[in-house]
Amino acid sequence: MVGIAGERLSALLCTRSTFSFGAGTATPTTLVRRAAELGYRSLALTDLLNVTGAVELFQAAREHGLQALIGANVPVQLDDRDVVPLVLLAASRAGYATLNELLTHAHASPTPVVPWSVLLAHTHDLVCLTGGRDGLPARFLARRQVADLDRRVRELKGAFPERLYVQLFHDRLPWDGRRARVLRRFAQDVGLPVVAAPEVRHALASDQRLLDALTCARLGITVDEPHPQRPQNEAGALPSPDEVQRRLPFPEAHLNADWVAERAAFDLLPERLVPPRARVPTGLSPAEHLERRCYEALLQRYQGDRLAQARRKLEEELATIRALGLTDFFLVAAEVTDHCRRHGILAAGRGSAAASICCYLLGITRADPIEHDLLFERFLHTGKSAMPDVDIDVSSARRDELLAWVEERFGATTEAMVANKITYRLPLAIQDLGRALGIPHEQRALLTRALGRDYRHLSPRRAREAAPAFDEALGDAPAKEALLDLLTRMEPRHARHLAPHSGGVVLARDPLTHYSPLQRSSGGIKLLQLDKDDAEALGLIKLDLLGLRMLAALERAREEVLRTQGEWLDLDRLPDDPRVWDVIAAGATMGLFQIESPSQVNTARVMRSRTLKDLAHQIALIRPGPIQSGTVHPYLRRRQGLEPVRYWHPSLEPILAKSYGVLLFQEDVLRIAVHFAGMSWIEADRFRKRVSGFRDLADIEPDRRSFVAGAHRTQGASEAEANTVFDAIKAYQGYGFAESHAWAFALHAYASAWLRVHHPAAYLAAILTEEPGMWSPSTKRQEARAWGVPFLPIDIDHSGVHYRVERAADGRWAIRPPLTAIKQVSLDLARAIMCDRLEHGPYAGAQPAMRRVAAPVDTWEAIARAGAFDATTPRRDALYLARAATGPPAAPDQERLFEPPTDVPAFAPLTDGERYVWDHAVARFSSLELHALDLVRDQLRELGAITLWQLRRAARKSRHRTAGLVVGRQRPGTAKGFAFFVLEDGPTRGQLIISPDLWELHRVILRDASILIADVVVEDTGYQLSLRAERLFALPAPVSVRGYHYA
Amino acid sequence: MQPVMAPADVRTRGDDVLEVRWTGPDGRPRTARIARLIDDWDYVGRWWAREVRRHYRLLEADDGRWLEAYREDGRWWVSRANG
Repeated sequence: MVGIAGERLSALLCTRSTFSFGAGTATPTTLVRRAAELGYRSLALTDLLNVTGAVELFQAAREHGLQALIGANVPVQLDDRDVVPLVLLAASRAGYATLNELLTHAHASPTPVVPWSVLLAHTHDLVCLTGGRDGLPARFLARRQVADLDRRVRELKGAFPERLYVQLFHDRLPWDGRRARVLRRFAQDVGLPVVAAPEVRHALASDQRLLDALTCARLGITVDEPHPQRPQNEAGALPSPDEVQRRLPFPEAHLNADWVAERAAFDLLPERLVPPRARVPTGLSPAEHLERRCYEALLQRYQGDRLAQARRKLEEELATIRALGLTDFFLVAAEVTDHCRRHGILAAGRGSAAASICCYLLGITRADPIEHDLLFERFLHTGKSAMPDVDIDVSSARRDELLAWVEERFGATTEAMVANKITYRLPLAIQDLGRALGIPHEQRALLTRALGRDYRHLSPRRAREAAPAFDEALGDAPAKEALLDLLTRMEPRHARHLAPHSGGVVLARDPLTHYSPLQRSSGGIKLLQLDKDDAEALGLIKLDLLGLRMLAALERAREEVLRTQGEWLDLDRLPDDPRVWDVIAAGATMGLFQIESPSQVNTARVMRSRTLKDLAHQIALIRPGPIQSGTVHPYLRRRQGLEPVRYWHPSLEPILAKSYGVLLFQEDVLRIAVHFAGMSWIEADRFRKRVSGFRDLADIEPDRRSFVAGAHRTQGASEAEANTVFDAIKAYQGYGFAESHAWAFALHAYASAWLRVHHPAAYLAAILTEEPGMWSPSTKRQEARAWGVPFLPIDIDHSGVHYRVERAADGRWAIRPPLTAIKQVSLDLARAIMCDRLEHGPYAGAQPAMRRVAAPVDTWEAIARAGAFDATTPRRDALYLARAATGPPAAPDQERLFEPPTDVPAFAPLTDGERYVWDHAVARFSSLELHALDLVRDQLRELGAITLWQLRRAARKSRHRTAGLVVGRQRPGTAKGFAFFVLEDGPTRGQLIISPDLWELHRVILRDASILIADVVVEDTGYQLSLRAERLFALPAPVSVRGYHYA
Repeated sequence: MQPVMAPADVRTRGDDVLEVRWTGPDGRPRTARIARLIDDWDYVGRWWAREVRRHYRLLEADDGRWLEAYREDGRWWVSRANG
């Protein structure tokens, strides 16, 4: 409860944070901290048209002992001429829902405003302030429209009885003192209370320039252009109570602010949500239905001893689910996967849910938690405060279809996606602020490019670390220092806009406006104004329906096999095939799910995986958690028998035996916390989160002490032993896999490998279409040579929308690339060509095609350049015809005004090299059996470079000069400054290891080169050629490939 | 009020301005003894080049004239005046 503090203002009722997107510079946390420092007792966040900062506000306020109030600044449409902002504060949870309904209404219109009539109908438990400089009284009094103002205010008074306040403000602009006095007198005249409510837009005075620049960016102007919305001084800074008192010396206005804060105080966070209502057969309760489904499946899936074990586990889980009131939630998740199964949508649960036998029996997940001994408590336990995440991977090609069904099934008001708060990174901040400073587009683009892999992931605040890039792009330009100054003023979590989350769908029983406004993304997706953490804090239940490109690829490959060979593959029941394991163990895993990276290929060759368990471990091993905790090398050496398996303490053997004594999975940390350090599952869950995400060692020192004491008490471990275990857990920082998650992914990885072995053409067509994974189409095309899958050319009479499998002349299954592989050809145009072909038959030449289908000249040029007419018309001829063929196609019964010429000059035919370069100019690969290095082979020989293929058989530690097209660049944070490039020469690839010194020496070459020539030491040979670079230089390349780039 | 834009000598007591002296457009010296402060405001701008930071005062002289003066970098200027 907030007390009345006297005449000194103790409540700020009108503050904007970064969630006003370009109209505020401080996060809610910073505002709260600053308000607390200045002695305020309450702070209301009133962002422009949203409540995105609400959860952060309440959490920060709790931490700093402040009372949080939530509201919004809402533009209200009075008539055709006037839109006025009102400040609406929620006076209760019900008022918060009213506010959300209003904001939802606003966001439903193209210009987000609330019509006057809608406002008057939605006022329940809202407090209304009349707004600042642009508000209703200030604006109408300035125009002397007293009668209009009187009428509007009377209507507002009726709609907000005893909840309407005339807002007094002072922005240190001319006549603001008099304006405040006039507003106060007006309030007295109409019988309304006044309230002191300065409009806060930044925490510190010095942030005004950032607010100004962001305002310019938002308005699309430069700092040299005047605009009334630009801040004229530093009055938007959070003021001290004394300053407000000096500017607005009206005691009752301060008392009223405190009074408003008192009446609008409520706690947003403790709310829990009732799960969405599941559909159950008549006569059954949800609990009965859940139990019936699970027990029926139990008897089908388990027999003998395992049945008894599974029954015990199921009973325990059902009891937990009942205790947490989550019965309906599990049934709803099952309903989603049931729908997928019925409609042929590939879908599979992943993540911690895969440890639940209930999820397994309901068909939500596919890995057997009994067989794999998965830990349910990682997913759910009776003490868990957060809602469980059920993540379901869905074929990315059909996710929109599934989301549409979810909306229809659960209702338009009770289903929405959670949002991602997109925060500024350096490149985006440079674009926005650079534009405001008048830095030309070309220079901004140059700067963004100069950031390269070294700096582009920095937060703007760390911009000065990228000084070399700023110097390279901007030199001594005066704007450089101004830009750097602005960037370093941005808070690390400065939000720019909201975007849809990759898959988090919230389902509720009540309308979601109880929790958040709803709005549409630019792509039309219905969004909450909450991110996933906010949703969890509010107790919302979230289902993650994540579009997975690999599932779409598996689905597509299955269809190609059915179309070409008439066989329907049951991807859930693929046979265990030694040939598949041979391919995985050899590291021939390019294009396979989760095991195609160079590091995975290295690991595959050492692990020589032969089972799904091996595969799950392999997938989990190359992650930041295991890498940083030093797990990888001991695991691999012990697995190979090169060193004995050791445990930090004998009692850890049951937990870590499967991983040879090292930490591999998140569950290992939980089990150690419970069984070694004697924690409860709740404590273990919190312990894992704290210790895996700490920033300062001092923060987890209490955890160390309690862990060591617990280990001594529970297992008699010495202090040294317990500290060693704690240090290993501490090192397991960043991202590690849950074991259940690794199993779910292992199933997909095996399915991808099985298809690659048994139906390589269909699988290749599928991964070229859906583009899962990291490799470019050009690299996949080269890999096709190794798989023995020929490529057919793009052909106007045969190519369609997707990559397809066709019989080649020699009888092999081959890949036919689609028309959409040509950069200029849209999906619509490719479809139009296909439909025209189906209706009128093949074109048999360039001219008929150009005559029958409408497309811009440059598109026909691109199609000609790509060789789509090669079967009937030589490329240069087709290009000549395309350039000549202007104007729309003639109607069937009409003559064209200008007929394309029929006589084509005699052009020289293209060489293979020219065709290859033309292919790459308009598509991202060439169907020819050539590689970029084939075009510079003579030069490479002159320089003494041997091929990567030759190096595969070179002696280890031998020195050579070699070359390759750069198709992958990676410099992971866990690699101590080392970079790993992938060089390609035909279907052969090699990993180039670049030391930090060499990186610094050749930063620009390494950023820009397409073909690298390197003097190397051979570290590993065979499939995963590994080369340590000693000297580097670049060769101009006839083509470049956009490979993968990871910082 | 007419634009002036002339440097000024200002006598103050604390934050209060007591007297302002400047040279008028005709080259003759002017003096205003200040009776009251009517309004004051701040301007902070052009931060991207050379920052301008001014505190303006609208003043009434004891003879009824109004003048607008500001302080920037420790120096006083009269920007507008009447009479």
